[in-house]
Amino acid sequence: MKLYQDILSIPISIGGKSVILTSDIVSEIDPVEVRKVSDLSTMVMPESRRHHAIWAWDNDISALHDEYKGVPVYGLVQTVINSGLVDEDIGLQLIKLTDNSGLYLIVQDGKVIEADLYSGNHLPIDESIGLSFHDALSIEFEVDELRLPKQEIESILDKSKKAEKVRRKQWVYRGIAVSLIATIAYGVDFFLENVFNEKISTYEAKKSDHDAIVERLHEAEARRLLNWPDNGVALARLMQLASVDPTILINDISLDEKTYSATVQNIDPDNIYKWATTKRNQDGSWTVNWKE
Amino acid sequence: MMNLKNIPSINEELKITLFVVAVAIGFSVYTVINRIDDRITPADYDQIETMSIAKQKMLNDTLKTNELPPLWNSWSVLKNVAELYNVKLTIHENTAQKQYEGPAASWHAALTGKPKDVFASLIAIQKAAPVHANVVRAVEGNALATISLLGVEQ
Repeated sequence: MKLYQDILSIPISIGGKSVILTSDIVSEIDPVEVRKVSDLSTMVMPESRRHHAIWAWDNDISALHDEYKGVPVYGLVQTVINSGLVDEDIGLQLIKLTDNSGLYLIVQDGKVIEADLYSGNHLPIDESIGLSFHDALSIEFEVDELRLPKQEIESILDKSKKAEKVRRKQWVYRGIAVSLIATIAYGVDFFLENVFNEKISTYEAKKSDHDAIVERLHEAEARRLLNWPDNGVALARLMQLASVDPTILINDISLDEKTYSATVQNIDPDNIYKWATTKRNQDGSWTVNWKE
Repeated sequence: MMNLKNIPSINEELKITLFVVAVAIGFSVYTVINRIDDRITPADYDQIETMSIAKQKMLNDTLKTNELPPLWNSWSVLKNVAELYNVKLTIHENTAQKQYEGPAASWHAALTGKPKDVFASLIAIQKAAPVHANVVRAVEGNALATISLLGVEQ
């Protein structure tokens, strides 16, 4: 029977790489909650098709990291599962560290649902699930059969350092992105502002030309008129109405407005005033309206 | 106590980055558009050149005309025409009523008489002198026309 105590917690070589294997735990829920302890657990791998979540004790990982700086740490169960050494059909399997202690693995439907340390040839589980120590299969392998998982175990400190690094990096990216966006926006705005200013200065030059011309026109119009005022048409019509009715009633008409209205007692029966609209009033008079 | 759940994942950090970028883009676009809206082109921007050309032509045409006759000379003409039509010509400085407000020097006056005579005289006056007709009125056989005689001062 092979015992694996001597490959645990010291640097060994797997696939030409110096690594440390440590005992790990497979559990559906955080082992801290199972054991009600104040230690910290770190998740090694999330649940997958082949196993429930894999955990390790943070203190163990930190101690190994402190003792063997730069040597990656992997879980023994994690590595054994990854190497395909677990028999999918046998419910209880053991990785023996010494004659009476080691790691047990419980397999259900081809999935490792629980794994942890045992000692004194006694499982820290309820025997009523129908698994007995005598039926257990001992997993045996050579170190060079092992294939390392992709993800080494990181302590909470490692994870937090890593996360901090990611966070810092992201803040740098954010800074760069925001500066870039602000610069582009400023550039676009600067360009638009220049286009607008150019437009306005062109307009102002034209406007001042225009104002100078208007000023000169006003000066000229103080002494000259292009056309003398002529209200001949309107006055001739008023005269026509006044000839028929000398008592014509005209409320103030401003001749500039070109809208006319008069009230007469008689209208010329031979002249229907095509240029006007006429309306008969209750008192017999006529209201004549027209526009020019 | 440090907990794994409090360590933000890369995805969460990326989400924050995308959010920050989105906010920056939104704010930039909003600001640029707002500033575009604030830049108001004068209402007559498109017409100012055409207006200048039209005014210049008016100016050229106006400068080609003769100078207006002196006010006093025209005033004598007005008196003669009014007399001819049996209409009374009086000085009339009623600023409450509408009257000529142009740039030329003007004397304000009123013509009173029978409606037909007032209208006829005003037609004749406008042919004889530069006269702006302001307001006409007729009540019970009496008519009034206010006028502004235009000319140059002597």
